[in-house]
Amino acid sequence: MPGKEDVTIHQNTCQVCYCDCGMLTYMKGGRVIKVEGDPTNPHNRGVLCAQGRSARQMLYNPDRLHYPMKRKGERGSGDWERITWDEALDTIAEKLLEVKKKYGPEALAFVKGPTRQMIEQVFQRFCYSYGSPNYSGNWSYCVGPKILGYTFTYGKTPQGLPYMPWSDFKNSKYIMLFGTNPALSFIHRYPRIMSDILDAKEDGAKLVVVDPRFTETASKADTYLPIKPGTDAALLLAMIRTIISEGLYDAEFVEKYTVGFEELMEHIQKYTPEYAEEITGIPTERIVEVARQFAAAKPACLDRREGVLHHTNSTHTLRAMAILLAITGNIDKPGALLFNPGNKLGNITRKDRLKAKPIWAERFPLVEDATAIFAETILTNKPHPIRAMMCTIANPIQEYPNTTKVREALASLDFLVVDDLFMTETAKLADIVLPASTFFEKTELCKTQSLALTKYFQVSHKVMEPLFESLPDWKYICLLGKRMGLEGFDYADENEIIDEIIKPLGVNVADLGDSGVYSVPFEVGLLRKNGFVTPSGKIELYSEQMKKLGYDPLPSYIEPPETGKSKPDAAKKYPFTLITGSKTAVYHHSQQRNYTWLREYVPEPVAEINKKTAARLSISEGDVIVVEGLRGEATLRAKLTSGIMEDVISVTHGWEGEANINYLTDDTQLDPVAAMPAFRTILCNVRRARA
Amino acid sequence: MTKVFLVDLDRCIGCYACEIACKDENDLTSGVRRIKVTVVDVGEFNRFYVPVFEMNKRGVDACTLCLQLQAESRRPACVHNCLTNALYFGDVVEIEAMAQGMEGEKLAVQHKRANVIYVSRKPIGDLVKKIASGR
Repeated sequence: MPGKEDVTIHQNTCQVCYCDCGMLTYMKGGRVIKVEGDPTNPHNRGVLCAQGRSARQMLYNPDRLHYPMKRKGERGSGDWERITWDEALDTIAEKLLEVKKKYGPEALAFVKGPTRQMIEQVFQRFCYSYGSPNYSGNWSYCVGPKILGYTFTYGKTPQGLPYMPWSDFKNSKYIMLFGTNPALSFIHRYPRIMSDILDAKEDGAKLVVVDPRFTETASKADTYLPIKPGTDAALLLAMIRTIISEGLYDAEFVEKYTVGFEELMEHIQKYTPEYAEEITGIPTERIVEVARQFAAAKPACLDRREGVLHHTNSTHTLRAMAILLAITGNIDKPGALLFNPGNKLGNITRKDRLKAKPIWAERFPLVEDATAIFAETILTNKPHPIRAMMCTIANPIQEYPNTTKVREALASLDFLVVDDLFMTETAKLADIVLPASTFFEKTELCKTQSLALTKYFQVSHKVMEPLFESLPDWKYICLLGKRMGLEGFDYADENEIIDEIIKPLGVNVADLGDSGVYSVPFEVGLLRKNGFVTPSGKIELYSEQMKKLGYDPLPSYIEPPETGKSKPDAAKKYPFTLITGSKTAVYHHSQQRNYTWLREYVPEPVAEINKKTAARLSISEGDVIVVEGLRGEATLRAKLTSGIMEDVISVTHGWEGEANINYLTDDTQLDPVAAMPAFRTILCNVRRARA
Repeated sequence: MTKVFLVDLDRCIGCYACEIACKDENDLTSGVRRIKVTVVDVGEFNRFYVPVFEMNKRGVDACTLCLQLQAESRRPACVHNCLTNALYFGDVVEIEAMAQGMEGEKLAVQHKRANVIYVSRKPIGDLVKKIASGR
């Protein structure tokens, strides 16, 4: 370690993933020499995960883009020419104005990756000022079905915004987790989550994990229930039926706070535990056992993540979860489901000036985005042509379903500009590539997404000027906006933008000092006291609202579109079920493969296969195998385990080249309410690669 | 006084935050692992994550107990960066008293520079013992 005397410590926010943990950045001679978790931060309490503590390898990565470049040869040829920022901005401005003139403003798609409050609003301000409503991120790949399912059931905040309800695991007596691995993937953006779950266990709570994979989290469970992918709703509905038919529900809570119990009771009759056993593969007696335990435990938590959401039936599943929590009274009290107080931040997006409707408006009227339909839209020009795309730290080629189609679509665009730290597979297809800055090199308004859980937000100040010719994304967008003659992009620095956003709270950046931390008051029990902001003022078990919109007013189990039952012919050729999207400790989506500290833990892309399945196929550990499906194939190494159900294949997404598992995923079958694609439950076959 | 690590095996989740904290604090090149978490499957749906401290190697490969942090009255990087409070470090008296207060099976591993006590409420078993003691 260097001499301590010249070391300075800066309080900022880790922005490697979405958790936004409090960070202490140690600097010497203008260089970051290490990072630690901020011990004063209530959310990560002094720790950073493996990815966060590797942040130096992002900042000083030898692969970082140093200057703007324009394409010289064919798309994807790798033939680039270095240009100045002036030339880059002039070209982008010219091309975007050209596209607007020719096809109208809707022809621009703005695609963003992980963003925080400030840049999110700046991006939207640009996109909407240009006139395009086609601003899109990861809502429909992530929280969409939860937001809609829970909002239909519990209503909105008093400000009319969706809640982001979270589970108070630490104070719970029964924790039931579906398709989530908080040990590695930090549900609720909260890296101490597993610590809190283990604390609750030591205080006597039971932990139940429902997952086709025996995960790190499952290894700590009292009860582990392997479940067939995509069938969670069947288990939940059978639990609801058992709890109602055995009279174990919270009658007082149901009477006082809910509507639609009669309709629910009638609807649920067909979901017997025997029916659910057939669908889920979980024995009847275990279903009845967890239902009874869940109803008896007070308080109890029920939560999920992408293992449940990445299906085309997930709005139903989330509605079933919301109903199960409601009939057992596990709502708005310690140790149960809690509700954030609502976001009172200012809005500088200018969305109100928009006239055009996004490309998904007709098919999915309720969504924030329907990112999966871009490829189809670009290729068919329906319902409106998309001819230009701006990608900012987003990587559709490695992240979006059906890579072959996404690649074809992006390659056919009139203009593609990508702003990123690295030359991703998406950047390789661009006309212009711009060098982005890391979070060490820019100021941002962080941790505003789930205010209740963290009870604070933080203005994360930059610790250094941008390296090379990189520019912070807000700066690039403001320079471009000005150049295109759009009004309102004259910001001198980040603080000026953030001041405008936090003004309604009566504070400014200067008030918050070096730490940038602002605490938000939070109270449990407000919904019980003030009522639920739904049409009935109560929790809606039966949703009249959904019915009016043409959706099912009560949740059902819907067979996923690719299973042996729904596609029996295809299943003969593709007899296995692929699930994608599981997490490792060291990678966040398509990132970090080039951080040497992390790569040694997962050096190669693998497909997890049950040992028995592998034996049947004569596949051994480490064999190069091809996983093939209806839309494409990927080549990986076999990883044999008894920690996955037989006939289920799990592959982590985000790898480049032929290991990209999104060649198999589907962009056409989407959840009808939330536009979620099927990243999981994909029919596939597995074979050894020819030598 | 002898220094001791305590590992609560029931709380280790295999997240590698300890390993990377060690690399960051001690500025290690990739491939050097002074603490190594091994995944040990001891039967169907029975898994341990076992952190092993590299005490027997020499030079850059060996755990130094983060003396530079101890000089500031701080704990080694792996311990203070543990996401689940599975790791503890201190003087032998303090840590042995702590281990005694914990339920479950205990396994003590002696090293030259520091000892390690593993605790688990599940039976530890021979495979975990073998890995924990570096055999």
